[in-house]
Amino acid sequence: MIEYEIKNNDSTPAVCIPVQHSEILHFPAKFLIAESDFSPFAVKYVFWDISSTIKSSNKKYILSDLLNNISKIRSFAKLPVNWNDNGAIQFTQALINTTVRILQDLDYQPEIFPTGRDSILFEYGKPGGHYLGIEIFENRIETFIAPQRKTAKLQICELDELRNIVNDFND
Amino acid sequence: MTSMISPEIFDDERLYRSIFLSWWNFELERISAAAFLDDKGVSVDRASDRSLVDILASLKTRFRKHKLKAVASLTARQCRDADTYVFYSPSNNKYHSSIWNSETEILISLPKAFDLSLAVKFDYINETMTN
Repeated sequence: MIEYEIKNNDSTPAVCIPVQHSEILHFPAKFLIAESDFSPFAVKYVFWDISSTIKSSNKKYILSDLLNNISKIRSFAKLPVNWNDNGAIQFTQALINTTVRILQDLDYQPEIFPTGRDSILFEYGKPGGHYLGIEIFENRIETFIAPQRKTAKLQICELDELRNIVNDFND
Repeated sequence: MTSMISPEIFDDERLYRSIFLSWWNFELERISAAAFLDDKGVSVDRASDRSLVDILASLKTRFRKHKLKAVASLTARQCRDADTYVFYSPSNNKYHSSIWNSETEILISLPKAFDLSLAVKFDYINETMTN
């Protein structure tokens, strides 16, 4: 794995992206990253300047979607204790790192949400009420597909199986 | 003298939940199932004998530090149809109630959370939620 560090205009580190050696790299000049601040309600948008971008032939998204989602997941680590006003604990760095690693392995980018039980939820939707939910815990993954109401429980290491579920839903 | 609240929640009573912006699925234009995934169960306010105006005013006051973005509600019947367990659990908030996965399990499963997310209707949405 290579780790690319993207820097802000003032050269401060912005986000680190692990990249497979096999991936072809094409970086756009600029793109948008959404970064939540400490409030779960506020989202601010910042332009980052970078010199190139990452593109893998299997990925069905543009890099900015991935970076937005990585930034969003990382922002969950900044949510304070009791951010949901129901006594939620802070997200562990282990869960944040696991979730980012899983996200990068997927061929489609989901919508991403914090939960009040130290898990992070990925959601995909399609017309006709089709839904795929993926709840990521520190040590396991649970999936749910509607309207079939099909569920699965996976180990964190079963990323090929998870990728298949996501691709079957989206292809 | 304060009025007594029945411990029983009847099927047609509405249950209100505050919704954070981070739970809004802009892609699907509805609330995420994440709003119902909580290790303490789902915390809601029962309507009791209050008007919607009073309920919203109360929630806005309690959640003012969060700049409340939305309030969603569903009936106790809809919770029971989703095979969840609804019960009155007053605290310093006398209207506080809870939704659990079952009478003995707190954590709501993802399928049930999905069903609840489809069942809710919005009673208040701050315009910043959809912009």
